[in-house]
Amino acid sequence: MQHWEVGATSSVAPTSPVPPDGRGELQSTAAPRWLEVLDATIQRCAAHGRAELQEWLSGRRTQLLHPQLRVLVAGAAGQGKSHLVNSLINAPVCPVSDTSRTSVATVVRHGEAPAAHLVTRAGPTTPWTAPAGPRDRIPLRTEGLTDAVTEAVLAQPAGVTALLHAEVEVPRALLAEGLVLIDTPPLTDLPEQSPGAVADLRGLVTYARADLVLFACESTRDVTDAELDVLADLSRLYPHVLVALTKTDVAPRWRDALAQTRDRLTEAGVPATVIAVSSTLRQHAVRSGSGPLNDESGYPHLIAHLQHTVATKQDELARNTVALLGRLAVERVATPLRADLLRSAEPSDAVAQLHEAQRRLEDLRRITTRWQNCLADESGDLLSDIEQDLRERTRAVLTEAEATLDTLDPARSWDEFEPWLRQAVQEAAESSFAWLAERSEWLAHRVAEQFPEYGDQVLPAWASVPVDEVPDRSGGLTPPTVEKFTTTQKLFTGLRGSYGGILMVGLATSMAGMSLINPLSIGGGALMGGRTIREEGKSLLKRRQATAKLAVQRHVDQIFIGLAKDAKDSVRRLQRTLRDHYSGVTEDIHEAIMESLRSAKAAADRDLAERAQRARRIEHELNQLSGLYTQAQALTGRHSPAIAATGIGPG
Amino acid sequence: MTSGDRLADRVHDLLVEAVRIYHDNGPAQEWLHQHLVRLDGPLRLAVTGPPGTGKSTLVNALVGESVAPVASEQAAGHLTWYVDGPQPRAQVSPWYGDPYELPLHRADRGLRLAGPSAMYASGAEAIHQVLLEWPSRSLRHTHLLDTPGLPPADAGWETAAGIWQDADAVLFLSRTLSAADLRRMPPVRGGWAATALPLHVVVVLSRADETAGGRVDALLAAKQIARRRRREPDLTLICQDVVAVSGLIGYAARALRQDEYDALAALAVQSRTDLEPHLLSVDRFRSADAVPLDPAWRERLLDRFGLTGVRLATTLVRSGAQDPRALAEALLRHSGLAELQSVVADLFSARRSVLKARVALSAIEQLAHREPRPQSGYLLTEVEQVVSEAHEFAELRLLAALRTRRAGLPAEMAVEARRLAGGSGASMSERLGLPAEAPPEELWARAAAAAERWRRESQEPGRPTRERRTAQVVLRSCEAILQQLG
Repeated sequence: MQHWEVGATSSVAPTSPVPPDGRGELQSTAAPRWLEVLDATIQRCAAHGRAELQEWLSGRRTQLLHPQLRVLVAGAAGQGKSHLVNSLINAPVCPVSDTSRTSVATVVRHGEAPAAHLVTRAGPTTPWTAPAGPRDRIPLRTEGLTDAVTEAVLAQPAGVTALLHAEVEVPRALLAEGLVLIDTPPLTDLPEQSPGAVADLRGLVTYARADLVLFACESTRDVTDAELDVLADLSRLYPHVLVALTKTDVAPRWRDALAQTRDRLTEAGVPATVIAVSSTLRQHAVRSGSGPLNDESGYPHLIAHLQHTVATKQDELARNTVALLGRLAVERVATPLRADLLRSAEPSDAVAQLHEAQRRLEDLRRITTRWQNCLADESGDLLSDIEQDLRERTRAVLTEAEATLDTLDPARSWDEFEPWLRQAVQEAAESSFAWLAERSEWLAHRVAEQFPEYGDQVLPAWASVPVDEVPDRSGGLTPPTVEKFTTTQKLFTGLRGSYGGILMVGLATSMAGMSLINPLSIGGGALMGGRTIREEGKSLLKRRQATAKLAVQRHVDQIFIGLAKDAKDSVRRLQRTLRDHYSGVTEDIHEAIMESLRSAKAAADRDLAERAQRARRIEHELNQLSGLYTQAQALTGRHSPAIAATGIGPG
Repeated sequence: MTSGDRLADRVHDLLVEAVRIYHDNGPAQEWLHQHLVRLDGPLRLAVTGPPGTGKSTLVNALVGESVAPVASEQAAGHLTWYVDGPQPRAQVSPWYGDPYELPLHRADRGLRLAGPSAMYASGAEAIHQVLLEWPSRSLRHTHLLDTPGLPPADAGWETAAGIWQDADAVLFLSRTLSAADLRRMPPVRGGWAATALPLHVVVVLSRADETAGGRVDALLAAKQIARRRRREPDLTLICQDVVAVSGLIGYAARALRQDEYDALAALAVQSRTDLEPHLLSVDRFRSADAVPLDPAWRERLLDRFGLTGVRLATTLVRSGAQDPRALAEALLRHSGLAELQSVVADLFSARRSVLKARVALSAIEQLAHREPRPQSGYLLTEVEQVVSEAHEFAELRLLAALRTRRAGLPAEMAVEARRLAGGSGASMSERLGLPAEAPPEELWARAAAAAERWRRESQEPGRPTRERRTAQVVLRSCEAILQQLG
């Protein structure tokens, strides 16, 4: 390993000896303001049960109190990161080659004598500063260090490469002041895509316990959007970022690149210092011992910046860092609180139940009117329908009876006719009443439909509405008085008819010289007499039939009136029954709703009180956080209104 | 008449057959006719890669003139075809509508289209591609396609897949050959061997002058990286060869002018030790008062050559490049452009018909899958048969293997294998290493002897399988010659 140094790093004597792995606490007796604020922030996080924040902040606290300044050099592949580290300390400790990319990180710090180790960390989330056991710390030869590292990494089992880093100690004045440089493998997918790189860098800075990030980007091209994304993300965790534009020796337009990078970083709101450097020039300067060349390389500027940061670590850097961390932690803690507060303004279950009960009461009122109207309408319809039905049925019976009476002689067949009529009337009445029963059931359902929310449970318990037994109103029908056609009557009628016949034929034959009574006239008389008897018989039959029809009609009418009365009574009874039933149902429902309304109201009142209390508590907590936030911001000495706008406040 | 033409004939017949089968399908007809026309046209070579890899610079270097990029005020991200023509002319094809012509202007870099903005006021991305006719000998047998930078990951290879279909051969540029860059190449698709193998891709390690932080030996370092990487499996799977090229220096060499040479010569007059401190950085070179060159000229040299180029050129002048011609030649060699040109000539131009057949076969295959018909199965079978019978594809793979020393043959045999497989010319006499006027008897004797020798090699039990397989391919080439002679 080479031992020459040049320029800003020339003096080797460390001004204040630093213990090799000293976790030295701050010397001053009174804790600085930023430490108070940080401790208060950590306490707040603990009070809100944010263990992960607490742990992370405690890590950063330890880091800030540590006198070392750990600078993590990150960037895309081939941006000259390793070259940068090597040029800063003038020693080839990191592999610089296009053929072998940096595969493990190298931590470079001060040591009285050159030494190197390959460290295997216990797990992916183990801090790099955690002490490693003797078996996890393999000493490496310092001659041809980069090859030694490569060989040692290859000797490790596959899969642990991500857990390896090299630790190199070199005697350098720059490092003796407490500066630790960490060279890292390239970030995923940069310079074109950021998601992978953002995750990579977050993990790196957290577990490598970095205090400052030095982001390398070559000046032969413009800084890409993805790189800006990475830097913007980094500026959420670190108050300040250092960007090194490398390779200015071969970039004809590196000044444009520098100006543009500064502009774009400002535009993106990333607080950063951009320094253009050329590692090649620096190495030439070191080799030739040329001061102007060293100045041209941009390194003195970079070294001065690093030295300033080391010297002011526990002042400026710490204050800015705590301001940022305070803001971040307060925001993280406040976000769920604010969400809680918002949620408590939303209607709760109890209130929803109250509203639901009120809505159901309203509904019930509407339902009551509806079912009453429905029952009245439907009953009226049923009354007229059943009457009409009865009338049609009896009329049909009557028509058939009349047709039957036309073909038979009531006097002779009455005994057959009467039972038939009785049965027909009874059948008509039965079917009409059966229909009435169906309609009644339908009516009950129809009214039940007016209770859409309660379904079938409001139906009357009986399967069908009771309809009285069909009353037997067919009664006996007395045979109508019949005029008999007696033999004497027949004789008289025959004689009366034969007189005309004898006279007519006798007069005609008397002209032929015959006597008035002669066989011919007697024949004519007999003929006419027979005819008269037949006609008289027929007219008598007609009369009998008419009489019978009249009797039947009167009889059936009487029955119809009786049946109609019965049916109407039935319907009215039904209407009354249903009305009583549904009134009862309505009352029950009303009672139930009132009950739930009362309990919901009580619950809502309780809930409201609880919420008000909770909101007061959250607001109080938010106010506390707001105070903490103001304290943290005061550390920077400047108040950023843009940040305050996104800050705390109830609601 | 070489066997390559027979392959072209078979592919032509197959395309005609496909046209017949899809006679009632308008878009399919158009697609097939395009490929029929392409079959006889010049080689279509695409220059593509991620943004900022120096595609346009490489196009300029290949053409030898500053013609790329063709910028327009309205749109970025269009394809640009460069073809030979009697006079400079730009034809713009919008995504929708008919092509129209626009006047051209020279810009600081490349050309600029001066278009009336009203013409595509409707949509900024309206330009699909620009066809630039430019009188140039370099473009006579090769059409160049300059593409916009490929977006990363999946979107990248979707764009790339379109370009792959548009071009017969592809130069894929990458600054670092990183996995992220190479992921932008379309993945190896299913299908028959000819379409799946990367016979048409050469990867270019571009901006080689900036390798290793622009060290003095940047170009050499880049060449070493390319040589090493071309044998690694991740690259052999996706390309035929890897070449390191500095487009900037290459273009400067091709367009080197006398006054530029004079300026460089004036620099080179100073001894190496005197000049070196002034060439350490661009700032030093700019502000070096000891250099006998006015600042405008220094700026110009930086612009044209870059710092690495100036260093290289002065060294070359000092070590014997006495005139612009000699310097240009030396620069061309060092920039890697000469190697790239020979790669393009050997792998692409000489095998034009095979590459075109490959694209056409893949087009038929795609069509058959996209628009299945009862006869599609027949088409696919035919494609498979053409591919499996075509010895040309095997030869191409062998040549690439020999070139990248993957074939595993001893040097002497490798030279002969390369010649027989058509690496130094596809004609029979060239393959056999005889003068063009050699009588058929001599050709026959030579071919028969070669066939016998390679048959023995292919059956030699002691040889590794890889070498035996290589020998079998060479044997088939010999047999093909014999068959043609007989």
